[in-house]
Amino acid sequence: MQVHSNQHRFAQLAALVMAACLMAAPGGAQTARQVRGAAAVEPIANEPAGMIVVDPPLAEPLSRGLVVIQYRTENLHIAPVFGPAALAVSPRVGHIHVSVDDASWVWADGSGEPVILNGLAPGPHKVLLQLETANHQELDRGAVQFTIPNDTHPAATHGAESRPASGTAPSHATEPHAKIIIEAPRPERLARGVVFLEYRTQNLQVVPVYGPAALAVSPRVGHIHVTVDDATWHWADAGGNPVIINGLLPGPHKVLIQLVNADHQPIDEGTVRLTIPQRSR
Amino acid sequence: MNPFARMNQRGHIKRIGALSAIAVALFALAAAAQTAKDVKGATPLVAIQNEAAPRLVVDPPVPEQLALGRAFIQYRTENLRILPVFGNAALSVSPRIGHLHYYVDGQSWPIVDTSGETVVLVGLKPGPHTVKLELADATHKPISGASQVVEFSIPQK
Repeated sequence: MQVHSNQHRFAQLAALVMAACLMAAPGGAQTARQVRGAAAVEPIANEPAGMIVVDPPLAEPLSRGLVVIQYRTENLHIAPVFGPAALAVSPRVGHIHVSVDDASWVWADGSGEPVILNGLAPGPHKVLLQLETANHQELDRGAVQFTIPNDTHPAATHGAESRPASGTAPSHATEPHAKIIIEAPRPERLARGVVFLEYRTQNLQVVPVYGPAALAVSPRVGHIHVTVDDATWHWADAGGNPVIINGLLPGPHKVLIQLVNADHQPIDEGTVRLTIPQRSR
Repeated sequence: MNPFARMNQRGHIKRIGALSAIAVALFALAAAAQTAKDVKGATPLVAIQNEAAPRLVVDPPVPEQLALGRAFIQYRTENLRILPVFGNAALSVSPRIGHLHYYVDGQSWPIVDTSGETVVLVGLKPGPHTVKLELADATHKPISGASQVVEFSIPQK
């Protein structure tokens, strides 16, 4: 009887623990709406405040000097939609501004993909993610601090520079070379201190698909790496949207955009030289 | 059942009550403190060894919109990212990629959707309708166990 009772109790406990685990498990029984928020096609009255949750960089890539920061938003869809008119869009749309080590400047990202940085110098760093309205007003922010270990070297990371450019993987024997065509910065935006660089690619689809296995995908897939002013580091962008940088100090600057394959090896590149005018206030 | 056993059972009930409270509290905590990874899944940047089977979760049409005659069907995936990338080579990409197929009212051919966005059906006739959604791999092969049927009714105008 006692044995039976203990078994009974154990079974109940086990059931409860399992239930608790299931409920707490990532996405266990959660509906699409609970996880993804309201559908973008469904207007919402009195939408709660937009917020951002930023995870610490993934540990294993960080040990190689590669910074991968995942984030998620609530009550705001990340979308490359900008301007004052978009403030009235419901459900709310917006994007993030990313800045590194308290720099004066940010880049805008409306892709919703993780923030990816590579090549930062060994030592402590800080990355700030600001959640912005479509018209670039801050709604929330999250910062992560981390340390790039000493023993990482660009060659030890997935660093593109260390490997020969191989734009043509074997399966692409018949596919023409991939190219990036970058347009000059929009003058009217540059006059306001905003660097807005539109680009297009040929024979390469920009998508967030990574790794050696993806080299065999045809038509070819890849993404871009962006470097500002000869920094040691770049950020990766697989959103396919224009590169938008704001807050660079007045004076000459250069922005390098590399087209890379899914395994981060450079295929083509372009450098844009520009001058941010003195601010007339 | 002897009285001792009955008392013991009452004890169980109390314990179960307490444990349930803890479980509910844990759930609330988990919901509040969910990381980006918890909600969005693994980053696409790092390959996953032995990735779990793809899963498709489909919500019923948004009720307020259904009342207006519009079927907005939200869905989410686990262990499969929706992307416009196709072909045999894409089968080896990790984390896994694929896309959505859906069939309206028993149609024999799938509509292919690689946007990851809510399925929107506007203009269906009043009456009952059936939409089948399935996840497909990069070669359009349906993934077994990752399909859901949604049944709903468009109201008379």
